[in-house]
Amino acid sequence: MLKRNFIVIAGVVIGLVALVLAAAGNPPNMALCAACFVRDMAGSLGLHRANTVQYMRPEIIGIVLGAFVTSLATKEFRPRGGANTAVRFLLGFLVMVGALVFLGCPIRLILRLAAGDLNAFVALLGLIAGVFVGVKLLAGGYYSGRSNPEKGGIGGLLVPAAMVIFLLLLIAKPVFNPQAGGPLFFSKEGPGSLHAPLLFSLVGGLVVGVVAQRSRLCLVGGIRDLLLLRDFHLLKGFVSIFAVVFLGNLIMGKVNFAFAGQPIAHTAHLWNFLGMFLVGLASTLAGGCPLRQLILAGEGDYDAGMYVAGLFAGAAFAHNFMLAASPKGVTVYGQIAVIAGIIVAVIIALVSREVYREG
Amino acid sequence: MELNLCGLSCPLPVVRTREAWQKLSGGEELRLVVDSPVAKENVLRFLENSGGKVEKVEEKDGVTVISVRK
Repeated sequence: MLKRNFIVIAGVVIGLVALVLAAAGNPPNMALCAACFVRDMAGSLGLHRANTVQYMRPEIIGIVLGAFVTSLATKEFRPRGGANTAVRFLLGFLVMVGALVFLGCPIRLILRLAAGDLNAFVALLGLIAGVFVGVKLLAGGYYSGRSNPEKGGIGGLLVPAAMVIFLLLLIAKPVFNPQAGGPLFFSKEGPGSLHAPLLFSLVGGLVVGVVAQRSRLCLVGGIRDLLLLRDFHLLKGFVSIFAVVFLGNLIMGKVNFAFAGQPIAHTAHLWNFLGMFLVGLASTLAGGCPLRQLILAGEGDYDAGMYVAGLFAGAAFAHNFMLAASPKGVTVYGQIAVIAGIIVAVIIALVSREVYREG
Repeated sequence: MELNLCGLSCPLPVVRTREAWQKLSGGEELRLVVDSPVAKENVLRFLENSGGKVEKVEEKDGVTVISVRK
């Protein structure tokens, strides 16, 4: 009984972590976001030059390391991979492009909804529609390959090891180049400059990593399972995060039902819908939302690790190529990228069908 | 009927189990081989929701074999 309902407990815990991180200084309606925070980390590593979104987010480090330690403790750490690894990188890239047009991953979508941001409701419809198309492609025979245990386990350790290095750099803050800055860059203004104290963020991330690993929480998976199997199990996590954060915001007087004037958001409805449509579609093909992929990468799944690498690359390109939206709206480059991304995702699914028949 | 679901990522183990389950006649046995705890949990939850009678769950060297009768 407890095991079956642990997903609700996980949702409640993540909701509480989000409320604490919001109060402790994270950007408004962005206490936790797998996409925005990876984007900030890509900026901190100097992979893009948008100087308002550069910070080495300890939450993401904590999420991966929380899943890593938990999977070691429960003997679920299994270095594995080889299931359409390159495609997983591409899917991560596409998810990031879609997320940065909407300005958030599925977690931030919930946080925005729970603060009354109605643009997130439009995006939720897009997410559901994207997952729906992904489910149809799955039912039509989309095959994402088979992973195999990895000898030696180096690939499975790559993402957790990278997170440890990022954490050490964040704590030590070394300066390699006094003129140009780096190795890490930090925003002086904008969302990247807003953050909770390091220890709060790290512990918050670790807690999320532990409960998400144990509960298998997946926000895209929740919608997918409901549409595909009429199974409400994973969606309970989604609903409980929303309930806790909405209640918290209500108590603190932070709920503002409106489209306009929402923090770090725009009102381009079509692109909010299509951006999240791309996230829903590509995430369904990848086997889960960005949070779930971070957890899997922490468990030694190097296909998920490549997806995470795709998120970083997507963030770098999204800002360097002006694909990312801003509160002013969506650039024409971003619009083209979302449409192209949807087409690419559908092509990936269609060309992967034949292999299924052989397998 | 036996299905090898090892190495498949979410949600393919359940998708394939469902396809096989739909083709199965009443009283017939299905053996499912999985190698990840998540796939095992998801498949067992699907079988429970579908009214399957799980007869045996054997685990050896990280591989689980689930025997279920429709």
